[in-house]
Amino acid sequence: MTDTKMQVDTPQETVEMIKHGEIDESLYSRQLYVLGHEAMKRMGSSNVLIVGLKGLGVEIAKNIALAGVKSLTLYDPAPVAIADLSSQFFLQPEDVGKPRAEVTAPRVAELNSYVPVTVHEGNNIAEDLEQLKRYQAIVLTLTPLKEQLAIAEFCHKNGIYVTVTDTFGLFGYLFNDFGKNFTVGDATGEEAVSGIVAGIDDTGLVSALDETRHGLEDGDFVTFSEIKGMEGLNDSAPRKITVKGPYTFSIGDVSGLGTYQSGGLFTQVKMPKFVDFQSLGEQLKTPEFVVSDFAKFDRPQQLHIGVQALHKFAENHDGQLPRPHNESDAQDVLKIANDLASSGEDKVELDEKVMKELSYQARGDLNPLAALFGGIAAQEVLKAVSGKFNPINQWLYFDALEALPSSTARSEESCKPLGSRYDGQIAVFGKEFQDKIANVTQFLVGAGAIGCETLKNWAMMGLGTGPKGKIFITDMDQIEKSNLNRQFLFRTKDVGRLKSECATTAIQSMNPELQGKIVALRDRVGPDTEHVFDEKFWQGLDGVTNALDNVDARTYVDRRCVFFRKPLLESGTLGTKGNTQVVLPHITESYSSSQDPPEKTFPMCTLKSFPNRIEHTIAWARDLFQTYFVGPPEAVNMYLSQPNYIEKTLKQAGNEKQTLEHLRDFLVTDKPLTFDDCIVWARTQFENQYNNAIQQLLYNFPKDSTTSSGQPFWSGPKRAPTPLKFDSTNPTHLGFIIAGANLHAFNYGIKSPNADKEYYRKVVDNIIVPEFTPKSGVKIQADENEADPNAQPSGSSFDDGNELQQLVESLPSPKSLAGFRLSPVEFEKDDDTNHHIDFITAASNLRADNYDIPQADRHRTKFIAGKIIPAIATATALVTGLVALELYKIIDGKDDIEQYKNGFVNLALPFLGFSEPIASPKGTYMGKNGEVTVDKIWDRFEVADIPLKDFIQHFADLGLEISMVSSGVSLLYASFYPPSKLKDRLPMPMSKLVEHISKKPIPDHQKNVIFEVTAEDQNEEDVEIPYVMVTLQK
Amino acid sequence: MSQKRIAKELAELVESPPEGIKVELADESDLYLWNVYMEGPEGSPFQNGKFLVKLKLPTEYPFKPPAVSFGTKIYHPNVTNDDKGSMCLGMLRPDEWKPSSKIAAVLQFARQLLVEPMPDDAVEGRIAEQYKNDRARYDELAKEWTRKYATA
Repeated sequence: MTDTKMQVDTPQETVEMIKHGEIDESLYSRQLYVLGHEAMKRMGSSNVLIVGLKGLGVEIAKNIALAGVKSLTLYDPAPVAIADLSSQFFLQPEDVGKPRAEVTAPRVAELNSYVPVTVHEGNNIAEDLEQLKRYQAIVLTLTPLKEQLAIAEFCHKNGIYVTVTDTFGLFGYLFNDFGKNFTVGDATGEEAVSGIVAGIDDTGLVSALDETRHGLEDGDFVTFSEIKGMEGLNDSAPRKITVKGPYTFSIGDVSGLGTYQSGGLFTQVKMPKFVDFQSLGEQLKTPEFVVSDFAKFDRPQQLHIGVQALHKFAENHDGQLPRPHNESDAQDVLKIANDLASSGEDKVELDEKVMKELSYQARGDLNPLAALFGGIAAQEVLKAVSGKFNPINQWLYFDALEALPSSTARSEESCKPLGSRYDGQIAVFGKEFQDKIANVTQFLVGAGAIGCETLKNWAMMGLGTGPKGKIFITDMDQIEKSNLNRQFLFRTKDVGRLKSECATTAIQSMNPELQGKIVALRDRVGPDTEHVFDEKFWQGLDGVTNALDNVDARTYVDRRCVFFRKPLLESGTLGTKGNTQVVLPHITESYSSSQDPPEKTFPMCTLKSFPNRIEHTIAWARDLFQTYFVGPPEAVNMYLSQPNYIEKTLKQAGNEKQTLEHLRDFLVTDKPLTFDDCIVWARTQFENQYNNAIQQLLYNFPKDSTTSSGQPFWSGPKRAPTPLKFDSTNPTHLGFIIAGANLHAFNYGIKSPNADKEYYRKVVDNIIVPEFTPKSGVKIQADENEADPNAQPSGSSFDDGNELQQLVESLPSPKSLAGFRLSPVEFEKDDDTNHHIDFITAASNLRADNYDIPQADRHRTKFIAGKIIPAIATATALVTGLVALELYKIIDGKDDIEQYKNGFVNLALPFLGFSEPIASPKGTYMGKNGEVTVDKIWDRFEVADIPLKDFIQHFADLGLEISMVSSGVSLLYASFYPPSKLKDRLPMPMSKLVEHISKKPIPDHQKNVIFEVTAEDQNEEDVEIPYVMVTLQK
Repeated sequence: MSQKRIAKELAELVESPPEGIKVELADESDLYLWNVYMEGPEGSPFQNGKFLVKLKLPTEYPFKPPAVSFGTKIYHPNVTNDDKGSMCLGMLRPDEWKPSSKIAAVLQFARQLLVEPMPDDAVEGRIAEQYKNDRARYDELAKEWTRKYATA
């Protein structure tokens, strides 16, 4: 296996795999962009065993089944107890007494029809180790330490990957042993970076062009191409680099390679990494920890001993863990732990409180912890069987003791089992807190991947099941096939159903106590639905949990939460990465306080003439798709349906000629009658884009031209293009014709003959394409023959008034085409038969050929053009677990910011990090009576609906001289406005003023209006002050 | 947050406008769309012309650059000769934009470009080529277009 093989998925190979049904791309689409085909193929040949089927086991089983492996086997002959229902979402009250694995297996099997799920028979798995050889990977939960050791030892010797994991109340841990010399093919999953070389000096120092960050890290490997001078570097073995700065790195000795002259690209190469794992026995003695929370850096050592003490306690007590909040059991555990600590090599000073909590909570079973460790453990199994991403080496310990309630008391009495399905949670928090959880009203915004997992967590926690509890869910989307790989409440039969309703039904059957407690809505939350989500609705909520997939919606919900002063739990994932954020009224900053980096966009001139990366050609192809199949057909329909369309167009200040030309092309010149005409059209477009336009560009900027400073014009980021000569035997060329012809035909409602490639080839080979001659200079062409094959592709010709008139006259009258309409194409990336991605792939790759940029296959093109967000169930489960832990704290009413955690996770690295939320920013201004401190987010000024002049006076009385007032995007008042302008405005009540300027009435349901004000204080300084809420009289 | 910063910059530009530049909101109902009236600089072929420059501020402003486009047709290598009249240059590129840059600087930069086009970063290759190789003809056409489209 070579390193490059690991990341390159050849299109042919992919096509073969999909053909043979090895990978169902429409199901696994989003996950494929996390793991890649190669890793998924390896998963597809692995058999996985999961031991122990309480909450944690079933979470792992769910995530692995969704991800897709060859087979999944479950082992747990123990009978279902009612307390298992605290976190085991696939168990029902009527299952009590039946073997856990047996009842669970068929329900896990429903998640993915490609993964057979069976039960491993036998009464004691440690007694017949030989049969474990059937599995490539084994996960142990609920397994006594002695058996763990026996099994893990056997696995270590026999090359079976083993993961051990358990949770105890708010504690959890995981251990990995993937054997000696385990190969990690791709440690990070990050895209290999590449860039343009500006120079290489004789010490081997490489500089990136134009101060572009190279993005490499020490120890990375790179290869080079297109270097002039030092040609020996081109296509030589990968060189290991040392980072010297953000724009420079060293490749070491370059002697004997000559002197660098110009040009060149560097490309990162991912090299495999080898990891030696030690056995469980060795690692118990000399553990290697991954730190999960730097605020608790000494906790892993403590818990390492504490967990062993729990096992020891169970050994002494017939397999039973310490009783909930039982003092004498806790003393026992503490004593065992102290013995262990003093016998070990490094004498660990134990934290008595932590040890006792571990004992108090040992029988606790919290769904959030199961979700968290279920996500982590499942990803570790996938790492083991695929070699993708860096495994946990070797222990991970975690606790969330901050989530213990302080508003309610805990005692042995309040934590004792009640024979209820929440006993696992009651054991940790006590009955009183359980009642609090039950009587919460939460609003879940979104029922997608995060939404499904969140609802499951809530169902297990019993959130909203009490007399005062309620859950609102909204999502306007329907279920699609590509959702099923993560959104585990949905099945194939649900495709097309409304997500919020389907999810509601699913969790009500998980926890029947939710019957009648859920309101499922189908409205997008936004300014347009404030009559649905009105003031009364918001006032009734205890809090909001976001499960959204876009920044706009997140920002909107955040604004509403700030306005209504509701706590908000925010989270998101991107591939194996996840983050969580807590927003607390009057305590923390809000979601909008921090800015995500804006979406990457490319300069228009780079796209237009100077692409140097495949991303540029894909963005260009996406535009071309719009220019060919969407824009002009829409314009045609408007021309045909709006009586004064031409007049309006002619009044446009910009280039109205282009619009008119499109109308002429689509209604006259290029209007096809047959499918063959569409093929001719596609062939003409090929010539325009890939030959003529390039010839013209090279005519204007010949390959040997120089810039004003004397440098070669075509250098650095400007790659000199070469025109393409059409060749019907070239699959990319023909691919452009086939996709283009079909989409053009779609515009006109011409049926595609579903012809084979030969047919297209025959038609296209018989088309005579006129020779192109580049034009010199620029003429204003009034008399140009419209059909001139030398005409530039539209968009860069120069016009004159009377030509426009001629154009208008050449159009058929809308009347003569009564009833005729074109069908604009609606871009849909997930339909593999609609030619959309095919067209963009071909169009982009042809342009890549023009500029000698390596092509991207269809899969990758779809990813970039479709802006697909890679996603995998493991990361989703994990973030919802973290969010639910924060929800406990909110329900408890904690107001100490230090008790809350924002989380940052990347399962690939692996990395778990937490930080205290940032406090809401405070500001001051100098008022009439001295300095005033304000909370910039949560405070506000409240005034009645008074006239503008009183409004200004109101603030003047506070010592604030207003310089501008705005509401929404309307500017209502500025101190620089002339008095004539202000005369009418000053007497207007604020509400009327807003309506007057925005030209929109304030809707009936709206009870207040928000204003932003800039002002100077008594020190004549610009001060940032909170927003102003004007209450309307209604 | 962007609102306040935009309002502040607007106030500054209205109260002390840079030479040859006049700024106003296209419509008071939208703080994010500005109309800029730019006088063709003296000594350039655009002299005596008055150009409408449209400024669209993204909601992420100042973390993303404003989009600047010519609403008046102009014969210039760095302005697309289509209905968009787009430009893409230096500080306006998303990867080079700095949140500390101000709109006033953007506008001065755009006006300076009328005096000194940057043919190496052209979006209209044919005009760029002419600018470099046949300046007289370029000046003539730029003047003609200015007279035709940029004088009311």
